[in-house]
Amino acid sequence: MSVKNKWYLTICIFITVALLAFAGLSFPVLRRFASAVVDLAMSIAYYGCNLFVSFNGGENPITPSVIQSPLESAPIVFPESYDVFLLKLQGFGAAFLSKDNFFGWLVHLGTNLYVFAFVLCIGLPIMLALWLLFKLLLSGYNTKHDVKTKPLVAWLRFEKGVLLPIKKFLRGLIEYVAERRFWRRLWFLIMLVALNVFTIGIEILAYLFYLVSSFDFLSLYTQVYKLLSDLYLMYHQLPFLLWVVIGCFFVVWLRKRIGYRRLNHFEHCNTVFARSLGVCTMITGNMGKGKTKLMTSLNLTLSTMFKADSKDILMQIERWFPNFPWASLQDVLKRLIERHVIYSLTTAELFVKKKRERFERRGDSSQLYGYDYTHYGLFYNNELQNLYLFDVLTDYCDAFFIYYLTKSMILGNYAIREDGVMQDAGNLPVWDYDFFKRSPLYESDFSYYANILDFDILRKGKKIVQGSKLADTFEFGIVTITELDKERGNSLDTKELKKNVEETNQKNDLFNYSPKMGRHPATVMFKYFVRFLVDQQRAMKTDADFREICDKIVNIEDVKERRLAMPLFFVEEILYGIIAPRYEAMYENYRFRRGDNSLLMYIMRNTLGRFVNWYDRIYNIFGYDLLTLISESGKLDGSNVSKDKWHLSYKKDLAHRYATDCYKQFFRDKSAQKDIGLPDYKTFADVNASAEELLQMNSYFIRDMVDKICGDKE
Amino acid sequence: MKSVRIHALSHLGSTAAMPTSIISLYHFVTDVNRNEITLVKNMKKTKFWKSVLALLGIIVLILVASYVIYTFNGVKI
Repeated sequence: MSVKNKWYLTICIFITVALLAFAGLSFPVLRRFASAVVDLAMSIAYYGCNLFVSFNGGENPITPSVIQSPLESAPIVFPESYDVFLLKLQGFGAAFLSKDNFFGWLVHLGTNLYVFAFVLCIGLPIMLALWLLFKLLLSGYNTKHDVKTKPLVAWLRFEKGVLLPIKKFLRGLIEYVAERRFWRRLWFLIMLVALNVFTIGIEILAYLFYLVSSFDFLSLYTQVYKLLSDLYLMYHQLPFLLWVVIGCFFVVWLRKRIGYRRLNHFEHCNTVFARSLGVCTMITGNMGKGKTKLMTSLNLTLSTMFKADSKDILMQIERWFPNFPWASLQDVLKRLIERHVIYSLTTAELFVKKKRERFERRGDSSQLYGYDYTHYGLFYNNELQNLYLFDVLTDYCDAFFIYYLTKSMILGNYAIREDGVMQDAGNLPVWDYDFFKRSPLYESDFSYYANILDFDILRKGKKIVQGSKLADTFEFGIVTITELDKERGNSLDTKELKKNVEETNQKNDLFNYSPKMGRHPATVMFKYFVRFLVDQQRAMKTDADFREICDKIVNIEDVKERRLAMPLFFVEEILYGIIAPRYEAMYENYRFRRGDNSLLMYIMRNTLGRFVNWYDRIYNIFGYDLLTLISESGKLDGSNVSKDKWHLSYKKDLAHRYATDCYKQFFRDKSAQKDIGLPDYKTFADVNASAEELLQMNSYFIRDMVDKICGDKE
Repeated sequence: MKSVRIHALSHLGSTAAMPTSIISLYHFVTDVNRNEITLVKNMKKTKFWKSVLALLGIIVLILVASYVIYTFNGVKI
């Protein structure tokens, strides 16, 4: 054991002894604990005797103690007796509206709020001193670039020599405890006893035993009274400030939990919309509206949907033939996929076809991996058709191939990053598509990217590369094309092109056959595993044939930006609203005036600056945009108009998923060949341009105007 | 007004190269606040006032609960 670990062990023992001492010295809590144990024992005895008496007759000799009030009554609001409670309730209305009572409450409030006055008394001079320090800090000018002031040098020495080792030690201790469940469980158990939680749990159990035997609901008030007394005891075990800290931790934990649940719910809502899409969908909208962002988001949702659908098929078939050795078949399929023997739906179906032939012609029963078909049968009647095992096996192998494929199913003309993780313990693998809890620190460990879309695989007529190896290989997947209008054009753009020519063009490549007939090779058990998603600015910029294949043309009508899925964030919102603009103004002012680094600015950067960064990170995890989508039929005749919502979660859709400037490199390569940039462009000399300046524009308009004027003169 | 001030300061060229006293004097005479001449910030949309309302709502709820408990406690039988 290392020296450090010995220290950590000593501290853990010390903490345990301290907690035990704390629990052992809490006499009222221990007395209540003992009383609760007695209550439970008596209730169990009462329950047992009641069972005996029910069968044999007579009276229950046990008197349960759980319905009696605790020996030590706590000074809580509720009276011990139900009758007194009712009497108090009768007098409550008059007292509530009484002036004397109200003023009495104000005095009481003032006494309790004294602590805040105390905080203000200390806080105000500190705030004033800080304000003066800032005024001094920002009063002068210097250009001592990155020179540290003397107080900062002293502080850094202190930080490096004292604070950082302490921080490192504490972090090590936390890691040590995190790795050892024993300590955490032990401390948790001790605290449960010390904070009276055990007592409450035992009392509830004791009352349940009593209630199921007696049905005595009138005793419920006593239980509420006892519960409140126990909570009072719990509250007095720790100082108020510690409860505030525990409360803050609880709120942080709770709101994160709710936030993640809401994000997952939004993703389910997205899936409902994605399911409503047909084979081909077009997304339109003005530049910068977020078309490609939405299309990328749809791609990710569809990818998970395909995996879920293929698993549903597997599960359904396994329900139909529950005694078939599915695990053995899966093992074989896994091996064949990994060896590239099965690499498509066609090869998966060929595999089953061969098995069927061997079984039917030669009677080779080993093809069914020991399945006792004489006992369990080869058919399943689902009341629609009598399904033959080998037909079902074909669908099973297809679905398993789609499910087991550890590669992106997206074929795009731009790159999309995916991060689904398949977990395989040797049986049925499961996919983890958790979009919201992945850390970018491990991005490279589980990222994979979309397939490069070779348009020839979609061309059913002439192809750009004659004899292309990839042609006719496309079966299933999500084809995603950004700026389709620039690829295909409309009838005006292609009017000069001829169909009956040697070279491949938009009129003779039969591109539209792919989306039109795409369902056929991609259907497994009535579910089609193919989608075409395209985006462009205006629907009319693509030829009518393609447009009308699209069952929906989705237009982004409205975007409600920067919403937060995590609730109870208002305190931080207020702090950010106060801190962020002031910090940024102060930082800019400081950077303008001073080049050196001062202690105060160092502290500000590492406190307020970090708070602003943390706020942004919270939005990056739990933030989302709510898109309103208006969809209509591809015929653009105003039919089938629908309005839908799409939740664009930042953590899912903006986590390095795609590059909005994905074609940047083309322009960069061109610019790299030049030695001129924006600083070298000529500027106007005045607001009225001279004739020479106008001619420098090389504009059609200016050229026409000059020609016209000169022509007129001539 | 703002653009005039920017123009006025830009005539001075780089202020970093100037003696501090002249810049201070310039600022004093023209009353140019450094923050005024910076670009308009593209601040993020925050929910400041909504959050203030939420906080006030919670404070009111706590006060009402406190009043109810105080009143119930003080009822004489």
